[in-house]
Amino acid sequence: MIRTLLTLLLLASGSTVLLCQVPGYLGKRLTLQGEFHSFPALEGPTADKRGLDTNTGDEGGQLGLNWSAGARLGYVTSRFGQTVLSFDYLKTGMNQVAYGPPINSGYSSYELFYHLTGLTIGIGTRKFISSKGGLAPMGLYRGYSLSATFLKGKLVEKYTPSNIPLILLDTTPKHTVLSLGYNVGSNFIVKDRFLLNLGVKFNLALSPRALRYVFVEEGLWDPSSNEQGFSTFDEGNTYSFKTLAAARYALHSVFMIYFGVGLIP
Amino acid sequence: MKKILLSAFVALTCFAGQAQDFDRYEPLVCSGKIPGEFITASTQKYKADLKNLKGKELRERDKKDRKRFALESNFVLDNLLQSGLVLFNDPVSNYLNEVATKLVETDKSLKKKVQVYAMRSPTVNAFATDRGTVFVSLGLLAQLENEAQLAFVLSHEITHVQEGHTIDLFLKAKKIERSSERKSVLSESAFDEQLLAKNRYSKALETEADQKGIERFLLTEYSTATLNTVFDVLKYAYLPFDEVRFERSFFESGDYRLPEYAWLENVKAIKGEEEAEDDKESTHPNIAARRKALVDLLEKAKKSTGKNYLVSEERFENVRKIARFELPMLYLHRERSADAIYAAHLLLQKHPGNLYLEKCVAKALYINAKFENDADYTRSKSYANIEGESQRTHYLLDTLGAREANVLALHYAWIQSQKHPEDSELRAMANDMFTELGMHVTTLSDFNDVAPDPAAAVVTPPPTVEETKPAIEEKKEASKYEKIKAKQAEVAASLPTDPWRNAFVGEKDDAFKKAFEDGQAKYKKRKDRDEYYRSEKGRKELARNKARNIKKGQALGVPKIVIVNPFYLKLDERKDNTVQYVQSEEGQANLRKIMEEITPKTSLKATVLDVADLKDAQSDQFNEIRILNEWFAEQIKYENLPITYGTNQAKIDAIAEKYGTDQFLWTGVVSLREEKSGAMFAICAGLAYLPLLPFAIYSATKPEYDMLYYAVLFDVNEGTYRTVKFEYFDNRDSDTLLKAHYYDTLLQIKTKRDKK
Repeated sequence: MIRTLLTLLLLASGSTVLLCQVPGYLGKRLTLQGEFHSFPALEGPTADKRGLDTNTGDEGGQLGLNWSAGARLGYVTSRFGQTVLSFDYLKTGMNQVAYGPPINSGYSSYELFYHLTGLTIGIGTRKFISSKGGLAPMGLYRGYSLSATFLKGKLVEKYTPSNIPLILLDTTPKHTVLSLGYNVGSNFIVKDRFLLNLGVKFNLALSPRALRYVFVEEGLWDPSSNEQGFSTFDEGNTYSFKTLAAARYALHSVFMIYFGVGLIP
Repeated sequence: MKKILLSAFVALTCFAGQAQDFDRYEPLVCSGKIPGEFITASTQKYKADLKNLKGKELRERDKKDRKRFALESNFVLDNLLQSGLVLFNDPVSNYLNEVATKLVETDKSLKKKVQVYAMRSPTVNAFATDRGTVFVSLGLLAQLENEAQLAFVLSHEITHVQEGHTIDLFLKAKKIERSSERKSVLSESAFDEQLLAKNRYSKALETEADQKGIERFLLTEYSTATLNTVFDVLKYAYLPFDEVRFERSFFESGDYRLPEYAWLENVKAIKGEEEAEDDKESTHPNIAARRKALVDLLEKAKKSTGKNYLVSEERFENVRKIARFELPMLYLHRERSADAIYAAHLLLQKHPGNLYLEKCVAKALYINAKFENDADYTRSKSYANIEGESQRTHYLLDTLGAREANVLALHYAWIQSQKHPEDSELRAMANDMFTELGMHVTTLSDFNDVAPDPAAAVVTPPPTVEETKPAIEEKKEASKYEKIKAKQAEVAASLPTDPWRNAFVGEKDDAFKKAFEDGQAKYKKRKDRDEYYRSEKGRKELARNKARNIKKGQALGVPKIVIVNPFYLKLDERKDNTVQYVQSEEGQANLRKIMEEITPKTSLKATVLDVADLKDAQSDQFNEIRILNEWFAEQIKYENLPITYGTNQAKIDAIAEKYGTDQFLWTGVVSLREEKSGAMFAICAGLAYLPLLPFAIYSATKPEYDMLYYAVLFDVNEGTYRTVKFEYFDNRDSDTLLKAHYYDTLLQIKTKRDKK
């Protein structure tokens, strides 16, 4: 299998050479770089600060930073084109109201605060703009990417407004979100082997339930109606977790400013 | 006695070594060691001047002005020295220096300082710099009558050097500018006043140069008898070096006649420059004032004896003849075809059949025909302002139609190429004219085999009085438009019919027929190609090719190139002095370094020819760069005119052969630092909406740059070119950007197009 893949890869790179010149940077086509993405959290909590809308912690109302960091492996495929493999890690905060069995007259509810972490793996292309002096892998570029983010929640706080004993819920705090990205940036080659990258990135989470939640506040499980027909609280709470995690991710990554440093090996 | 004999021997051998064979005339080139001032970096000279300034007790403002002068004068002068316009160690410059030596013999420091160079310019001009460099144009030399006149001109210029007039004028101009700024910033007349004040000072310096120049001149044994006529040289400087009737027989031969409408019988009378004209707006006093001052000084001096020649009459005549021989070529470089023809015509009177001169004429006609054939070009008609005999050549070229211009050029080139079958330039011009002829003539039978008998033409007898009467009455009744048409018909009828048809009577041998057919075939191919690219399919193909070239780069498959004088210019809009001379020179050196580093990475074989890189023994390369740059300038000037052959094509071919390639690259960078605008607006926007603040700060603090990178690859044999790159960037010209684009340029040149 590996042999077949390698053969295909070699054939693909060979055909590229035949069809067009790829100057790269002085003939070097591979780039490696680390990137840090960030933007103020205008909506939702972060890992350190609970954000503007939270009402569960002492730090509510303080502005936090959304961030993610990762690595990029770029390969120049044409005069103005580059294919980029990306690996990113993010960490943020997320609130959830979870439900338990009824106590007294109604269902018991718990306000939970998670640390939401995610590993994003993506593939994208960058188109360097020739009119601005761009020549892959340097100069101003526009990029598109498709990525998958594997989100994982770690419960760090539970809170109940009444004196109800906390019940440990057996939720599965994991969810995967696909997203489409669009970025505009500029790669500066500061010295022959060193890259500096600055840009902005827009990210659209391809998760209908997240979008439904963000725009019309739907998609959470309510045990009193149980529209989804779950048979256990865990199923229902997990459903809500996924919706909220996807929504949190969508808002977290919708817009970022980034900078990176890298090497042309 | 031994000494005299030895000197005579040295002088004779020196002259013999420099003597020109006018029958096989070769345009002037530099020779021997390149003078240090041509190849020493301007920055080095500038720094030396600054060092000299350090010890001087000067006011801060004066010091600043002097620094500025040191900067501008060194860089501008060096730019001129390296431009190829200035000759060194050539027979003309050598002679000029010998005459100059006669004038400064008693002044050792001046003798050491003054260096005279001949300048390849047809303009009548001489000027000097504070560094001691004096330039005399070939145009001026061509007009002078004797060595004494030349000595007077040099004496005037040497006075400028001795008195430091250039820096005086510069400092005064700065002072005037400052005082004018203080007086009124808004006054509309401030600029005019400033200019007049500068001109007044310049005139005072010129008068001083005339006076002190004549004093210096009077110390020599030169005669003053013909000095007065130096001002006649100035008065008639706009005319050619001689006045001889330009006969139509110069172009007519056999049965070929020029069309009557293109022939001017009466030329405009020569007025000469107004001697006593108002010189308020001129930097020089008017001729009358200068002439009077000279006459007064000469009267006072009462010098009755003297010689017109101290160096040598023969040398003067030789040098003047060289200057005159250079003129047709210099006119051609300046797109002055009619002047080139007239100058060559003057020289051909005494040198009939001279190949060099005839080639100059052929080239002038060739370029003229090319212009006429290209509908996209419109040239202004200049003949109305020309005085004297040369007006006929201007009139002829201005009024000849495209077909007649084509036939005339072909006729001349063909006749000459038959006379000189070994000459590839004439053959190439004739062949190209055959191709161009396809626009006007489609079959060989359009040219007469035998000239029609003029006697056979039907001559209408003049109308009798009776016949005229009713005709006049009829005319009275005719409408305005009928009268106009009748008049036009009358004019048309008075013109001889198609004189071009007789251009090749008796010339239509097999070689002519073959050349005609080849030309027709080439023209058809060219026309078909042009038509195809005008069609929708062709336009689409062009667009596809363009897109492919952008996306994939051009693949020219050239293994070896020569890079000619890589160019770098740094501009800064924020500074008073937009041109950043020192940074430009440093940038140029850096560009060469980048080329040295990057070229081996592409495995393209490239030789860099750069004046700044030359050693003093490389005058051959200096000449090559000059010839190549002139060729390039000509190609760029004529832009899309398919000029097959350059003015100095044989030399170009020899250079191409020497370097083993026809592919020559002209590349360069112009970098501009712009004035920043909109920073406050960006900050305000950022403060109004905080998330935008990082962008606002970036936008407000980011310096604004613009940059042009170009790389044009010429095939000097075919005269075709490919623009590999011509790109404007909003970036600083960082080393990495230059390296990347230079690498890409070379890669595009070297890579072969994939057959797919």
